[in-house]
Amino acid sequence: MKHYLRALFSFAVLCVLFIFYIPAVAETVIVSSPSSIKYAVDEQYVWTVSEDGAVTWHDDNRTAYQVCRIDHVSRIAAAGGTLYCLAEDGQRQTMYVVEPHATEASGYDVPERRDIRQMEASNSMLYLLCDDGKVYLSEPFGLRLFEEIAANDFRNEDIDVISVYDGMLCAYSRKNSLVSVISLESGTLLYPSVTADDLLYVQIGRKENGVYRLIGISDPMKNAGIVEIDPSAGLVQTSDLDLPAECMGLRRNADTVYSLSADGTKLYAASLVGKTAEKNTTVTLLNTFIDLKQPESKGVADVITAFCEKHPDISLVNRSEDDIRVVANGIMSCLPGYDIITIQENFTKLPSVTMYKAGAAVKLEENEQIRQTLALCADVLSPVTAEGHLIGIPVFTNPYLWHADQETAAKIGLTVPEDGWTWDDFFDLGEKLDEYNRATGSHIPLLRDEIGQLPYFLVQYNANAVDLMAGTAAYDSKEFIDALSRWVDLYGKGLIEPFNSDDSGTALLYCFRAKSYSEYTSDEYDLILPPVLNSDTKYPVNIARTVVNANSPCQDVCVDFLAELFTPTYLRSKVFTFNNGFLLADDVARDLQNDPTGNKAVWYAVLADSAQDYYLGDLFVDQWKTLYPALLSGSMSPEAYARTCQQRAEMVLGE
Amino acid sequence: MKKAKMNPVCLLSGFICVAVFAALYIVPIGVNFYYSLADSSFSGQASGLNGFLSVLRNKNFLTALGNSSVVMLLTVGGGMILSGLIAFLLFQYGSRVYFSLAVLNLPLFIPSCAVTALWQFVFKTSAFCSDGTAYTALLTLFFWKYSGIGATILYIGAKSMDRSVSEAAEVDGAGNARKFLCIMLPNLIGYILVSLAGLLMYFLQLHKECYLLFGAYPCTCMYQIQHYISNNFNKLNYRNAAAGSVMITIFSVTVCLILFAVIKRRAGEKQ
Repeated sequence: MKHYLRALFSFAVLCVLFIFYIPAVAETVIVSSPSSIKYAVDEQYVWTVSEDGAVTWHDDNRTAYQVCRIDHVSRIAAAGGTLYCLAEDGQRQTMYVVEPHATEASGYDVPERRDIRQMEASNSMLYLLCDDGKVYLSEPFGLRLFEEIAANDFRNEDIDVISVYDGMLCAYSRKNSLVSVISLESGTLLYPSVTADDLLYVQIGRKENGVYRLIGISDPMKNAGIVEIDPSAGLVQTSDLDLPAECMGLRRNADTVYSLSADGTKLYAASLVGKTAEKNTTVTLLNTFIDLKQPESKGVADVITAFCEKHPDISLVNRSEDDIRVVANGIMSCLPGYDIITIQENFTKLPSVTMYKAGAAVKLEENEQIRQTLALCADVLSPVTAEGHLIGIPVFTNPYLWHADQETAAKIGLTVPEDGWTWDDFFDLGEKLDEYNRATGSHIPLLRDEIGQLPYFLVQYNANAVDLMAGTAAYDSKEFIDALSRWVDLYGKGLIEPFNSDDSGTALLYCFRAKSYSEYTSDEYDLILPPVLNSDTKYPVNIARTVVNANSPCQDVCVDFLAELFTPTYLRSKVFTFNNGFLLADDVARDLQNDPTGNKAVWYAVLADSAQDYYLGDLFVDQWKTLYPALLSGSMSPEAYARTCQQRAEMVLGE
Repeated sequence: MKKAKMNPVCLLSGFICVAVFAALYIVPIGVNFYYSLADSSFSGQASGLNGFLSVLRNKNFLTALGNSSVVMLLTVGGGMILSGLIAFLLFQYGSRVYFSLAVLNLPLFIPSCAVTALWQFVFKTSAFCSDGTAYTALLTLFFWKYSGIGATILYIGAKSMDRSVSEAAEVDGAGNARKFLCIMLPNLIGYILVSLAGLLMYFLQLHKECYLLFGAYPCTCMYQIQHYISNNFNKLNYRNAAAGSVMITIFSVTVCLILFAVIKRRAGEKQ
């Protein structure tokens, strides 16, 4: 019995050790070296330089990648994925710039030698604390050298330690016992200098209520420990950061602060998030294009910051999953990891309307902030609505646009309508062009269709024929069959050039899926509105949208995140307008005032009368791989094509 | 009267068994049944039998039900006939019987995805192939894969039969056909029912082969109940998927219970 009890006790001790000790150690020490190291941190990488000059960067999984070797390194700093190394060989100072995937470092001799006590980097600039106790600004390649940092009410003298983060410089003078935080953009003190005694290192800390706190490491000879300073209130208190009391240096990225052990051999990491408030809920961004660690733009970064300030107890994580069955299972069974989902409608078998029909997509306009922004929007959001409810926030908009070669048209003597034309007009134009081709012996195609596997004609018809909400399809109309016959006829005459055609000569018309507003509204194109079947026909458009899963345990919080992605400020941001154009009615009107080519007017006209191009179930693949080739080869009649499409659509929609 | 003492260890183990059974069997089935009665997996509101009614009124489900019944009759019926034929041939004329049975059972261990490519290549299967091609492809695949196990069960049954009865009939002038119909079949009925139940279970698993050969939306004759359930699941329509699966479960369990009741009755008659 005794033995059993002893074994049980040992097992329990081991379990306790495993649960508490091992993960704790694994969490804290991220680099361990037999000899002392230097380290630098930027938003992407943690860099280290060993005593023998080996330069290494470490990824999120703590995997080390050695880049090159630089001798006599004295100071290092990192910013924007680049490491700056200052090497000192006797009186010679060399500045090396190291990229993560370079095999060797490029260096140049610093023209003016100074004794540099500390080097920090931000936005491709270096901030140097020199032996004279002053902080200087330098450009890494020596174009600007040792420009003294100046700010109102800031005494740039007797500085002992500095840090730079997010456009702020933090400087500490032990002699004056003052910590100062300067905005590098405005050149002013952000807060009155705070009194703090015996600090060895300072760093910008976490943000609380819009105010950055500061972190400091106290002198171990006096009062060892990590302190946190509230610069707005002038308060200094003990910090709860998971760092040893005696450590060297403080550098940080978005969510972690790093420091070296007293002997310089171990690099510790402590999380900055989750300390102000316990992060007890995780919101997962599934398949979104948002990189939480490296936001693609300031607009996105501001969205994340605004959300985190509003919900300090929520942590955001990214995730991607392509398998529709996994996503469907996750959404329906309330599993974590399926909160906010970006759907590329014509790429998925789970359109947002299907989600809405199943009760899985949240009606976003129920959020007050979203409702207010929605009221300001131009009438271009119908593809992201269902039964009048907003079910998604646009991420990017890809309308299918047409471009006319007016020069060729004039040469031939044909007039291409700019708008208000039908497929019958298009086919008539084709017949005239065919006559011209025959008469002159030339071969000018009517349309080069660069959309993809299916031609624009069918993409437009599919978008109009299928009503996903009502579960109906209308392929068997006489109008469609007639138009299809004429399309096949034009194709037979070689007047339609398909996607991936070898022939790259001039065509009269081109159609393509526009990837971004900024690119396709430039004067490079002469956009025209595509032909339509009748006055009810809508233009197909692909809008990738972000939706909220109704089964998410934190639905309201997720909607709050989307609300941040739907503020007037974000909708006017570069990153949004580049992909989508303007969304707010006033902005659209203003934008249209500056439209010399008329391309913007076409863009907005298409969006104002648009329908999502759903690739319904297997119907798209059926058409692309089997039916359309059979139609073109003549082995399937237009009637049979329409009938089969109707039958297949009914099978998909009738479930 | 003296009260029987309950052994705590027995009580505990009994409780654990019941708990494990409930966790592994009753709870998943119960959850599935619960969602078939709910409005959707999102609202969770009770909707009574609306789910079942909507499924039973659905044209696609009814088509699927009809198709599944036809495919079941063809696969299970054809599989039984083929298994019986193989077992009979092996029993009467076979040499190296166990080797032959091992070879016949080999397809059972080959994953479907590894062989469907061959069927696709030979029969050119797609969502647009003709009904004849679709049936031929699916039935040959089923027979190739599962008739071996049916034949094995029937062969074992035939081997375990009392040969003296057959010999006595032979002395009385009974021919091969008469011996087969009047002696072998009645004696093998238990084994026949077991292989029938086995083939029925394999039929219910036939969806993956069907999916690989014809896709999620096959030609109309191959659209089966599993397609309906799977596609509704992918469309987040869990109520219909759950209602469909409850119905298919009830149907399968009923068929199996009938089969086992017959087996039990036959076994009782024999004793």
